[in-house]
Amino acid sequence: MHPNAVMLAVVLLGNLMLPFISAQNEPKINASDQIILSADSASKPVTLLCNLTTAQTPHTESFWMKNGLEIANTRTEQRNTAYRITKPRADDSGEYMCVYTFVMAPNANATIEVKAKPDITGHKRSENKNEGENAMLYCKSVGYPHPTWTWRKVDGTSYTDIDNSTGRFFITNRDNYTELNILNLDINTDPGRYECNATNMIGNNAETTILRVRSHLAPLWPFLGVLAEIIILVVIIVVYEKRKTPDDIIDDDEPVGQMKTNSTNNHKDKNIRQRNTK
Amino acid sequence: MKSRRAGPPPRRSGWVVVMSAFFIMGLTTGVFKNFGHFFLDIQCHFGVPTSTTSWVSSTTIAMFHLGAPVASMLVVQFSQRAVIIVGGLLTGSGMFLASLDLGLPWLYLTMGVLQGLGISLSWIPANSMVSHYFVRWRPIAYAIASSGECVFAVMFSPFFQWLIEVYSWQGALLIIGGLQLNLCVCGALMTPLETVQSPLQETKDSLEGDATALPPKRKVIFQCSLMRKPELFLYILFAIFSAPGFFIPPLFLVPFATSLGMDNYWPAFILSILALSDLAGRLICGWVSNMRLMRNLQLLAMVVTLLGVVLLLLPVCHNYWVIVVFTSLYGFLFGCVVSIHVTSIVDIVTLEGFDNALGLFMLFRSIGGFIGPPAAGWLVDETSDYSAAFYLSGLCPILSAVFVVLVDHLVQKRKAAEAEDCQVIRQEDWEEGKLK
Repeated sequence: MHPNAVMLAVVLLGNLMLPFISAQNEPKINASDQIILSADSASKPVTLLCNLTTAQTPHTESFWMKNGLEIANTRTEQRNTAYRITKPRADDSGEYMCVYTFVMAPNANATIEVKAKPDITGHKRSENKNEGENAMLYCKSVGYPHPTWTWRKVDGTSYTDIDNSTGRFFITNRDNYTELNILNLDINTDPGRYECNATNMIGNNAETTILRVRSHLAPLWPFLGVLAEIIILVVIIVVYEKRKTPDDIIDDDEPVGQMKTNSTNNHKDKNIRQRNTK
Repeated sequence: MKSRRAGPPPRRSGWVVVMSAFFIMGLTTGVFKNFGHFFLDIQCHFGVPTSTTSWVSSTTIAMFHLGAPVASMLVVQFSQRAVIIVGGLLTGSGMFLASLDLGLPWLYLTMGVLQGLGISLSWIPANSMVSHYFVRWRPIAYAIASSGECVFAVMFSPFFQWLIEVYSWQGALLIIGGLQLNLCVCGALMTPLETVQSPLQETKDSLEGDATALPPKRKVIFQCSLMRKPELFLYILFAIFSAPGFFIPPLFLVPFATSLGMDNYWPAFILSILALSDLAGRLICGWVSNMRLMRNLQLLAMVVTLLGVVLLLLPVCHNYWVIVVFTSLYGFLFGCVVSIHVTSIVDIVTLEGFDNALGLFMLFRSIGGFIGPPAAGWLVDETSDYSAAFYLSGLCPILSAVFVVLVDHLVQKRKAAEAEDCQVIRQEDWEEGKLK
């Protein structure tokens, strides 16, 4: 055989085998499949398994990470490592990784996705603002994958999309958070129930917030009512006293202004009487 | 000796006075105790820290105490009715102007100064009126009137929350201002006593019978001579030293409970227990003091000492139910002290000087009220322990009880001396009568 041909064959074979060899050098991890948490399996515990099948160098230890952050108390030296979620909830969902560390090689990891329907954890039950002010409605959620948010207005059972013809509505969406800002509240069109809806590939969830707009003149009516009550009572008392006064001149016992001089004379007499008798 | 004043009011109008005083105390101090509901909204609205917002209620307290001597002078000069009506107009206008929301300093001026002054101008004459109208039933009448404060404070708490939610804090202030104008109605009900002087059961007054028979009686606007009386001076010292026992614990009870690990719902419950036992204390102690089993001042000394002891023992307990028991005891004793300490002033200075003495009492009590909480706060910061606040607020009342005992001793001595003088004069009269 021609020596060049032999060299070419060796190079070709080497190239073909290189990925195979490097694959042989790379550690292999057997990881469990992705898990979808649903409402009915909420009480059943969930276990994520990782098994280091092949490795060139012995590994030092392994640990688990959730969404890029290490989970405490998961470091172990075993090849077979498991992470158990006893009562899985929506906020237990996320991207889990089992990571193996080596002495002379970079870390190896495998990803297991735990998916769940989004759960809305934070929202305002009601918001009361004055006419012309700005209102901010928000919703917070937990769950993976991150949901897409929509806002709607609810009238009993009918849903209407938010009409932004006036340009006063602004929606800001982030991974697990959404905000609906309404500027310059209008007392006629804006009050009502607003629903934030979080949807991901597993399912959706929604919560409503009631927005009330207070008019500037609203407290005036109760105030005038109380004022009327006070004036009526004062008039009644004044009239009652004026009508009582003529009767008092007859009665000795009633305390009256006009009686002042009389009563002081009596007072003096009584005093002298008391002194003399005792 | 039957006490007959010239033209005593018929019994029915006496109780009208008590009900009217009940409403006055409720509409003044009951409203003030619920200022806290506004703080969060005001803080958010103006974007200032909590300490700045709390200056509003501090100003109100300050004006309430500083206005007390002014109110008593005005009561002596004019009638209680006129002063209450003016006070009602001031509080109502204070709240009305505050609702216009023209800035934070504006709030200090309206909710602070105007409201505080108005409260003081309504509260002091109401106290004065109850004391003047009743002789035998005075302790219980005063107890019922002062219970208005507790009842209204409890009633207004959810009411104010609702008002603020439905009408916003500015609207709520407007409506509350309107409600406070009812003070004028209550004031109108307080028909002034046109009688010349206090009841004759005070032997001292009977000696001055001739003087009082000369119409018109010259009313002294401000009796500086009152201060020179040792009894009143010592009683004012009692006021200063007992004030920490009143003002400090309510402020520190909730943080103390929270520091022991109780979550938010329970500490609030403690405050409700405090209010309810306060109400019970006022009514029960008023009734007990009315039975005249012992002198008012003796009862006061006992109750104040017990109050101090309860406060000293409070930090020792760490169990929730024990704290509840001690808090209700504290509330009960607090109510007792409140119901007796004003009526005792009549025993010390007699009804003549009551108005002025009350003003002085409130003015000097405010010293203890202003120094107490910051001193307790400083102690808590130094020792990092809430117990220090309770030790301070427990020691002070025990010390003040000593002053009460001294006052009681002096008052008894004075009364014995007067009784002797009365005997001597009667002897002379009888001898004169014999000669004639």
